Amino acid sequence: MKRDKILLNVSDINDIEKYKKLGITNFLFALKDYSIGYTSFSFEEIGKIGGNIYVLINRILTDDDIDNFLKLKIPTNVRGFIIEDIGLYYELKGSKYELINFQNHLNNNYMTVNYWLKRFDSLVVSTDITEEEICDIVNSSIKPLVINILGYPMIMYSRRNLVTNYCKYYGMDIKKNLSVLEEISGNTFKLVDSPYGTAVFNSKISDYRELVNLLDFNKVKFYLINSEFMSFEEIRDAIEGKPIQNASDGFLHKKTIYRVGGES
Amino acid sequence: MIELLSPAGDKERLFFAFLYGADAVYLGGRNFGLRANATNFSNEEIEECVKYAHSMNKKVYVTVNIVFHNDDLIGLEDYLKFLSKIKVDAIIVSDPVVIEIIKEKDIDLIVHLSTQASTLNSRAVKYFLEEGVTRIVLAREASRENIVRIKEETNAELECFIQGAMCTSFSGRCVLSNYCTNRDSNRGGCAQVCRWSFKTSSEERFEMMPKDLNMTKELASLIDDGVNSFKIEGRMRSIYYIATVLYIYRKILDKISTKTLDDEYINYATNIINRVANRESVSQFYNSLPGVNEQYYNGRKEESNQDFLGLVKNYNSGYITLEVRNYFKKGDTVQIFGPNMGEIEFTIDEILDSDGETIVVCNHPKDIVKIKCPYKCEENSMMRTKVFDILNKM
Repeated sequence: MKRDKILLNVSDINDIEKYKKLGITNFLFALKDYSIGYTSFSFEEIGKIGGNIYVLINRILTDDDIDNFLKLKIPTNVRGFIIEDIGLYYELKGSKYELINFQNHLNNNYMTVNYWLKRFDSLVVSTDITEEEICDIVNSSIKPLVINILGYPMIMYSRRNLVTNYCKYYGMDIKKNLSVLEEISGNTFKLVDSPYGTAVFNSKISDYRELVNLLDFNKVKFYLINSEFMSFEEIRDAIEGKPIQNASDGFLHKKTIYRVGGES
Repeated sequence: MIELLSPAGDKERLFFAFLYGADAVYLGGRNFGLRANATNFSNEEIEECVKYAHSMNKKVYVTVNIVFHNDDLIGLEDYLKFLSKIKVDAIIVSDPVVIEIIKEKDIDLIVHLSTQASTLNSRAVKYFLEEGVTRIVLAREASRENIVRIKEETNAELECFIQGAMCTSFSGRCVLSNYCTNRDSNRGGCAQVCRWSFKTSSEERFEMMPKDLNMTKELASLIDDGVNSFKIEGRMRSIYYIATVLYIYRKILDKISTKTLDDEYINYATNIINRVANRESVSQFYNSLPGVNEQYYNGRKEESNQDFLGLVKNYNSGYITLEVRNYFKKGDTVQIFGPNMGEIEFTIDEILDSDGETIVVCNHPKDIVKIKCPYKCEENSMMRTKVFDILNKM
């Protein structure tokens, strides 16, 4: 894997120098107060980091949120924004920043992807689709794309404070994280609560590294690694091609169905 | 004019929706809609329903609101051309690929942006208006403050949900169903995993199911906010649910227009709606962030009721002819409501079977019986168990 194509979503700022020694130069920081689910950082913290810096804004925003964002001083080292909310795109279009669309779960076909690529500089492809679908999207895309290859996937975003409410209901000390088991499927999920809502992560790492060898290198802008809940050592081993624990190939080889008893 | 917009899961539901006061309905075809397991409508049925609606100056909106995978794109352009040809009043979309095809192929269709797009700010509204969308169905998470700001900044045509089930997540931003059941939530297969119960490391199980949305108290404010269309959720709900909810909301709109709406009626309306929905309901995000009291814990205390006793087929010489739906008997106090007759209440003292013989119990759904009734009732009015005292008796 060519390491200068990796975009690493940083969860621990103290690990950055170690990542740089591995040859990683592109870093993604979730922005404090404007992101959900991930360890987040202020612009002040982000401004001190060297390398190619991108900022993740994955909240769905109100007008007040956008007003407040526009008052922030963006550090000079920020190259671009990876964003969910189209209203924020509307404000930032035409700016000097690279804009990357990250509408989690929604970028699932090549025509939608190309629709957004006429407006954005790049786009993060969904992890909810098959390897074949991802390959078709990448082959058909009009600009290089961002491909998730490793990390715990965020599978739900609620505006509700689900963990806080749960703790309040049962009179427990308020906590922000909770692990829950869905007993029929055996799936475990991690919930992360914040003032802006609750993010739910699958508790298995989505290991999509096999895509690296399948996709046209020139049509990939970044291979995205999300380090949230993962150690530096796990990520280093993954980059070096070693097998990792607690991983799954997600939907790469499993088509979802939507009509019960009918065709998929 | 404020629009009351109802779900229509099939032709029967569509008929009752219009009868009970809907100005417009939304429905899904056999493909491309987010209720893949509802009966839905064939192309021929959609055409028939559009003609029927237009004959009454009412509207039909068709959902084309899945998040498309590559294979789902097959047939989409032809379907959009078909919907244009039969003159549906609008389509409801979430995936911008639909907007792109309509523009590129110059298909004559009005586009409404689905709540699946989770629109919460005026900038996003402006973006989609510039893309040719004419109406925005706001995110269910929109507060009053958000709605007012969006209206002020854009003057866009806005549609808001006023009644029905809520996703725990922002709509579209959840694939729990995909992970737990392999059913794709964003293509109409949602297994509603957020309504299940989860084990934790403590004894207390984790649950996150929201109570239903109910905007009976807030309808006047929503009108002041500039909302143009009030949407009811539930394409898979029964005709009894649709009739009851529409009847109540139509009454509230009428009372708002005549300045006769009061707390007593709002409380009555809420009781009736909660009863028919089998769930408690609250105004969710409109006034504040939902907290611990806006969702269920320890499992939902759902006690399925059989309140819907029958459908009135006609009224003649002091007797209603009724198609039975649930058990009732001589001596029961029942209520009948209909779109033009209001609500009436009486105690059953005579029931005749289809041979004209006196019976005391009705317990076979679809049986046709005659019931002596002191009030004139209209065709397609509905008989229910008396649970609450009627307000504004006729």
